[in-house]
Amino acid sequence: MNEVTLEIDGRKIKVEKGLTILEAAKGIGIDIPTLCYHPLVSPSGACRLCSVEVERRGRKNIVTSCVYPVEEGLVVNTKSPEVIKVRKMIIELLMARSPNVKIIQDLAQEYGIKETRFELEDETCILCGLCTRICEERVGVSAINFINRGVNRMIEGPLEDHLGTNLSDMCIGCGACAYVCPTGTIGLEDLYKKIRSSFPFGTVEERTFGRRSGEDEVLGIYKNCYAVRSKKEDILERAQDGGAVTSLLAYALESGMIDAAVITVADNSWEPTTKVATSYDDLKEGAGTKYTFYPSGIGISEAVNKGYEDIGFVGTPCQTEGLRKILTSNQPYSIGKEKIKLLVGLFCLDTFKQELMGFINDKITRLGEVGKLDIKGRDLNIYEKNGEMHAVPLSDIEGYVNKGCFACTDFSSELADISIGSVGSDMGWSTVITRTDRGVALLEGAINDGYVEAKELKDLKLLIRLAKIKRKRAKKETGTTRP
Amino acid sequence: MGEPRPKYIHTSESGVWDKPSDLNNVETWANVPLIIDKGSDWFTSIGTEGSKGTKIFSLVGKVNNTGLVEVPMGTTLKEIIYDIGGGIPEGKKFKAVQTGGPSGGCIPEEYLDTPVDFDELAKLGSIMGSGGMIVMDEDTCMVDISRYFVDFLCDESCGKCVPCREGLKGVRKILNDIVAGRGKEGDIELLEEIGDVMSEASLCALGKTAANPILSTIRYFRDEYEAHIEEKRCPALVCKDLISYYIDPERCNACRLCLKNCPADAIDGEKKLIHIIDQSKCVKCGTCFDVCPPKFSAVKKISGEPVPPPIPEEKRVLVKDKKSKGGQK
Repeated sequence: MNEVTLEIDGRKIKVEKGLTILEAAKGIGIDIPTLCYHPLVSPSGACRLCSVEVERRGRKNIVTSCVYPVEEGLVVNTKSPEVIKVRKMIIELLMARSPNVKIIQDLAQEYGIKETRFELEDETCILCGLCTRICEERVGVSAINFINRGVNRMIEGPLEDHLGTNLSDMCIGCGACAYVCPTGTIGLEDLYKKIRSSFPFGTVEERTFGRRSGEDEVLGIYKNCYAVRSKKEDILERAQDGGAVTSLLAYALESGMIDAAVITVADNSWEPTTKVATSYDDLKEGAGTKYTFYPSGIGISEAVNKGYEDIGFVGTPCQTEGLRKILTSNQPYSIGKEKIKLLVGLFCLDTFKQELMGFINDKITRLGEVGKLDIKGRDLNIYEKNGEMHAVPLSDIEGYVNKGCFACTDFSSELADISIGSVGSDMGWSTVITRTDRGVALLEGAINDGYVEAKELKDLKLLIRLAKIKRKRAKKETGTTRP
Repeated sequence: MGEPRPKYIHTSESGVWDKPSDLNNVETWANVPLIIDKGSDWFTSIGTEGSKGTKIFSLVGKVNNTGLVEVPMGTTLKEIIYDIGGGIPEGKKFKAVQTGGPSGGCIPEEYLDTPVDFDELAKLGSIMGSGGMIVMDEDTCMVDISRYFVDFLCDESCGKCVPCREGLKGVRKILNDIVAGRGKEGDIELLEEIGDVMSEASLCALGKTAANPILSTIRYFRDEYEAHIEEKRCPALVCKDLISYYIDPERCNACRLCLKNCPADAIDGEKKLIHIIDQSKCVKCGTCFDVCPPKFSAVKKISGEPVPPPIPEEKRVLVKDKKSKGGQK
C-alpha cells in the first residue's frame, strides 16, 4: 500500500504516501499560505504560517503542514477558527517586525489585519532561512548562516557581515539565495555587484590554466576558436544558431565523458529550471537560450543526489566562474566537486529578470505559444511555435535587464572548459572557444563521431568588441578592474 | 548550530538509522537498572495512576532547606515545601511555587495540596519540565517574575520559529511597559492571546511552554497585573518605577545611617535634623530601607499613592527624649 486516504477540508482524497499535507492540499487546489517553504529546499517549519488543524483518534492538534506527513484516516482542516487565529497572530507579529515588506503587507490584507498591536521595527529579513538552506543544501557552499539566538537571531552572509566572518570569500555568487528570498532582502543586483566585483578571478584563472591572462586577452585564456554547426536536424530547429551546445553535450553523454548533464530548461511559462539530462532526448528539451536569470548551479546537487559520478554543466559566465572557484579551491565545499567533470560556458552580456516574461505574455503573445527566443542585433526575437515572429527592440525592455550583471567582467565564460555562443559566426553557426584539454577533447571527439562540423574562426573582432564593452561597463559600475 | 527540527514521526518509530530508537534523559535511564533489578510491579507500586515512580526536584528559592529532593510521584506541593523544605524563611508568607524551570507555571497557595504528577501540573497550567521548583514568598511581584522569566527565555530561545521568537519579543515589551507603569488597557488580554498562540503553534517544547509563566501568573494573580496597569501600583512593592521610599518624620531619629549609605546622595539631613529623601534624586535601590535600624523602621516603601510632602523646615529639628524609641519633634 503506497497510498493513503485522508480528508482535507471535507474532501476525501487518495494520495501517495510520504507526501506532506501541504503537498497533498496543493494537489487538489487548496492554498495554504507559506513563508519559509520552497520546493527547492527541505522544509524547516520555522514560520508556522502553514499551520493546519489535524484530527486523529478524536484529538485535534495544530501542526505545520509543510512537514507533517499524510497518514491514513487523517482529517485536516486548513481554515478552522483555531488555524485562522494562529495565522493572524503570526502575521501580526511579522507586521511588527517587517512592516514594509510586501509579502507581509499582502498577507495582512488577505487576513484582514489593519495594524499590529506590537512595537514596530523595520527589518526586511523575516528570518525564513530559505537563503541558508538553499546555499547549504543545493549549492553546497554555506556562505550564509544564522548567527545569535533568540530574539537576536540574524543572518550572516556575503551581504551582512556582522561578525567579520567574510563569508563572501566562500560565496560563489550563484544568486540562489536572492532567487528564493521572499522579501528582497538579498537583492540579486546587490549580491552580484559585491560578489562579481570581488571575485578572485586571477587566482582561479591561475589555478585553472597555470597563468593569469594579460590585460589585452579580453576573451581569456584559450586554445582555439571555431565556427561549429550541429549535424542533427532536429537540434538545429529549436537551437539558437548552430546547436553546438546540445550536440556537444550529446556527444559527451554518449561517449561516456559524462553520465549526466545539468542543463537549464524552460517550462510553459518560460520560467527556467534545471534538469539533469542523461540522454539525447533530455538534452533537446534544453536547446535554445533562456534569457532570464536562474541559479542553475543548484542542479548539480540534484545530479549528485541521483548518484551520477561524472557530471557536466552548462551555464553562463558567472555560473561557470562560481563552479570553477569551487573546483580549484581547497575550502570545504560540500557540493561533491570531484564529480564535476565538464564546464560548458555560454557567451553572455547580461540577463533579464523573470518579469520580462510577464511583459511578453501581457504585451506580445501568450508564453505558451512561444517556441524560441533569441537576440539578434538590437532586437529580442520571439518565435511562436506556429512560425510567427515578433521583434521587440531591446531599448523597450531595458527596464527588465538584471543590473547586477553590469558588475560582471566576463563575456565569454573565460573559466569554462569550452565556451559557446552565437556571436562571431555566420548565421546558422555557433562560435566555440576551446580552453582546456578537456574542452579540446570534447570538440574533437564530437567532430570525429559526426555530431558536429567545425571550421576554424579567424575573425574575432565582434567577440573582442563585446568582451571589451562588458569589461568597460563593469569598470564603470564597480570602479574596479578584475581583482 | 543546535536547533529543533519538526518531528511528527517520533523517534520511537523512526530514529537513528531510520530505526525505532529510545531517546530519554538521564533521570529516566537511571530508573532502568532499578526496574530491571526489582521488577515493574515494584516500580509501578510507587506513584499515581498516570505517573509512576519517583521524581527528583531541585527545591530552591524562599524555602529553608534547599537542594535536590526525590519524592514519590503524587507527593503534595505542601509536603515538599513545608515537610521537606522546612517552610518559608523569616516567617514570611508563601505566595507561589514555580515548577518545571523558567517555562513552568506559577502555582498559588490554594493549590498547595495538589499531588504532584504530570497530569495535575498540566491542569494547573504548569509542567514537570526540568524538575525545577522555585518557591516564592510574599515579597515577590508576579508581574516582575513573569517579566524576568520572559527575559531569560528571549535569550534561551533559538529564535527559529516566529511564535516563539517574535512572540517573546512582543511579550517582553508589554511586560516591561507594565512594570514601568506604562501598562494600558488591553495588555492583559493581548498577553493571553499571544501566549495562547505561542503554546499552540511554536515548533518545540521551549516555545510551547514559554508562555506558561505569563499565562499562569495572569490566571492566578490577575489582580496584580490590574494593579500595575490601572493604579500604577505594585502590590508586592518590587517594581522600581512604581514604588517610592519615604522617611516617616514621626519615626526618624536623625541617625544619619541612611544618609551616609545612600549611593545617590538623595537624602538630606544632619544630626538632630529629620532626614528627607529627595524623590528626584532617589534611585530606589532600597539601601535606606535596609540600613534603617529596626527599632526605628522609619523608611517606608509605598506604591500607588503619592509621597507625603516633606515636613516644613521649622519642624525638622529633633528634640530628643531619651526614653522614646522613635523619633520625636
